[in-house]
Amino acid sequence: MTVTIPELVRSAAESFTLDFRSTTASLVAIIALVLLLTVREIARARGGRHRTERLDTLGVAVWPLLLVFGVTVVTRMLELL
Amino acid sequence: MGGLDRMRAVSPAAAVAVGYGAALAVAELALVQGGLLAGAACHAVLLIVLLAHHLVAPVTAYHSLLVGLALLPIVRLVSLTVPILGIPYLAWHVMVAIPIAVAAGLAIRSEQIEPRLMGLGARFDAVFQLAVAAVGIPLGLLAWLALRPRPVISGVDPVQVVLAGIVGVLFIAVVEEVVFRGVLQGVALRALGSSVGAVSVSAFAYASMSIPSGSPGFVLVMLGAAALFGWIVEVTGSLGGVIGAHALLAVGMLVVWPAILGGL
Repeated sequence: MTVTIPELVRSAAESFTLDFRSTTASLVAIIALVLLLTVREIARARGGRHRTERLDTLGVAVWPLLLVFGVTVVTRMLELL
Repeated sequence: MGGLDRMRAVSPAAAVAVGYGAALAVAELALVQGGLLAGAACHAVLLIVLLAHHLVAPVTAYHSLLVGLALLPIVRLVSLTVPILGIPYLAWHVMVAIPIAVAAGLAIRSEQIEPRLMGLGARFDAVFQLAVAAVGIPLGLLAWLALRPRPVISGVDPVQVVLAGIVGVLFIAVVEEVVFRGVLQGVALRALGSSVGAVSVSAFAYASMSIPSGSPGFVLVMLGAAALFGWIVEVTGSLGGVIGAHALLAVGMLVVWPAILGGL
């Protein structure tokens, strides 16, 4: 289909429940997000000047994943209500 | 020249492009063969390795290329994890495109990628760019023949076709072209110093990300389309025409050709 949502991803989204996707792909994304935030804090504390200057780059991954995490939490809460 | 000499002759930027490009293809194959968990895990590892490499590597020519390549696992992680509940397929693209656009915007800012490098701000020859956009029509037919995807709208309702056109332009073509031909090809050109190298990096990355379509023919069509789009951006210095071509390719493949030729 398209590169962003190819056929396999479309089929997976249609075939699997949100519960299943939350405990597989979403869980991995949340672990990656936590790791990136941890790396950011370690680099901020001990990284030296040039690494601290590069911390902005981690935002390239952190902000989109935080956005998806927020949407996932809101969706799950709406499901429960 | 011996094998070791040949390895030394390869520039670090080329080694980075080839190595991480191969890792991207492996992550996409893991998604196809191993399922959601394996695919997401491979992409997450690749993302963390790319950003850690960027954090610890000395400032070199390939520094920005690492960030450009990091956009690709972000694209896949976002598309795998955005919660999609009972909304039409085309609307999924809106939900997926927003976080990807945020990532691309942050990459452009953090790496200070000049608009000229991304095919923006060049002189715009409207007639030539329209001719470039028209290339998307036969490419859409080729892509549909190679993949035969399920139609995304029922029938040819004019309102749905217009909505599909808007989504196709704004949330598929603009976002994918900015990521692949804008940011990735731009930083690859900066790193490799070669147009052929930069176009190859963006084209192979695009084809690799098409692997989960499940059709080798479709992957080949996407490789050809991406190489053509990349070459046009290099020659004209503008993303405008290829955004039009990409939108026509997507709308043709998903809406128009299934409606016209779907019964064949």
